[in-house]
Amino acid sequence: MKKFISYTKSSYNIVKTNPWLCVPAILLAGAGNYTRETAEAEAANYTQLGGAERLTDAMGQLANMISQTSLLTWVVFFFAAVLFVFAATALAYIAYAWVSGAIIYGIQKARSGEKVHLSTISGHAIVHGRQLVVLQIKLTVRALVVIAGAISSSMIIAGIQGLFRAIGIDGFISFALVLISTLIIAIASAYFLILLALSAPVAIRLVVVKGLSSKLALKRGMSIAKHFTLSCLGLAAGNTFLTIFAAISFGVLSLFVPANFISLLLIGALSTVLFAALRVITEANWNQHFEYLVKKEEAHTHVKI
Amino acid sequence: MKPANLVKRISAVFVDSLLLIAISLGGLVLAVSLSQNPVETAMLSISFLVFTAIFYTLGQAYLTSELGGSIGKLVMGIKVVRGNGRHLTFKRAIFRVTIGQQLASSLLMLGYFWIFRDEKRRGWHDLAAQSEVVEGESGANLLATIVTFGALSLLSIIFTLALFKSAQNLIMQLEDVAPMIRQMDEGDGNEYEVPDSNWEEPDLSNIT
Repeated sequence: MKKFISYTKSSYNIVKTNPWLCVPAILLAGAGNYTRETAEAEAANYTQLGGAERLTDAMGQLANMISQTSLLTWVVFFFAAVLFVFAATALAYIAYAWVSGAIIYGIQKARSGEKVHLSTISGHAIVHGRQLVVLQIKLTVRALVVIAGAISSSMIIAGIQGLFRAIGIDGFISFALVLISTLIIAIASAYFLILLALSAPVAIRLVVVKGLSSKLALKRGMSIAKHFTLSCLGLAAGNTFLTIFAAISFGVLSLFVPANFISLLLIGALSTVLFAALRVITEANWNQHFEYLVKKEEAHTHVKI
Repeated sequence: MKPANLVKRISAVFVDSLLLIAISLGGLVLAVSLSQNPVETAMLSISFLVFTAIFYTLGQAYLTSELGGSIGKLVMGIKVVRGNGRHLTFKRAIFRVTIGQQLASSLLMLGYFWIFRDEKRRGWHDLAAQSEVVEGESGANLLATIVTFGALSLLSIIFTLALFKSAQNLIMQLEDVAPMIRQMDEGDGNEYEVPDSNWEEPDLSNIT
């Protein structure tokens, strides 16, 4: 707790003296502007459609139009959809890698007393961009594999339970088997996912700060997360608490602001800046903890990182 | 290298926007003219807009890396270069056009207004891509102007031809949709009896 407070104080000073660090973070902080009001308005519009009969008639005509749509249109639409998803995903990965790389490098520069400017930190992030994107893809694939593994294992257990029932083994044995195997799968999957989540911030820093390849960074990141799980978990929990606390405080404060266009625009801009700064603070906390973790890992494994 | 004149930069954005609007509208007109019903129109319009966005972005990045700027910039005689005066690489140009522009427009367009504050007239998209916009050569300017007006003239001829067909198509489609909208507004046209509030359910237990 004491360590976290000291980290946060130091991170706050870094943000205060280096406002350029917040600029890359703005890209991600301003991304989620889909409000509850928008969702409610959409839901209200949908329910205003009217009775079931009218809807059925309209749906019938719509189905008729869809069936009349030519194959060429479907092919063009399919290609457009695939292209859109591919481009959007690629851009999201690149943007995330660039933002992370720029902030982490900028924080390191600021901590060593150097002047931080968007131009210099961005250049470094672009240089490491490829490795960071590859790292993000590897992390996503691993997480998906763990989730897919958990789902398929659950299906196998359900199948085995069905088999037991079919051959007449029911009651306590079947129940105990299902319970124990489900618990094992749930705990193992949760553990791997937590390890992956904790290894990600360490691995990104190994690429940006230490210049390791994505493969080696992921390996070392996993090793550090495994050896110092509680320490990493503590910092992640502290950062999450900080973010939730800021979000709730800002939400409560924004309730007192008059609901007109200018106020909403300013509140939106203010929330973007606040969450960008918060992102830099949490990343700076990780940067400080990263150095501690690397020293501990080197002492633990007797291998220089 | 002399930073580009601000009026030229704004005019370049205006020319680029004009071109983008022309291409997008052309795509929409073409979508209407090719389709048989509103669903097909919507599908084709979305597809054309996606293709336009992607190819426009790629085209802008290609022109920036090869000639030093988008068509608007070339027309206005300005170009995007790195600190050493060379053109941007294709990857860096894509980065500038996509993530850089997104960053500049994130916080109430503050990243674009930064041009007025920076001594080298760089916006956040320029700083992120380590580029700057400077005055270019007049040769490229003339060539780009000819290419732009040629392309715009060609597009306008195609659009005018497509417009006639699409207007005809749109009227036909509206005629198809009108009964559907009318039905949704008026119901199915049948009249149903409203149950009387004094009506009591008959006792059927005595019937043998």
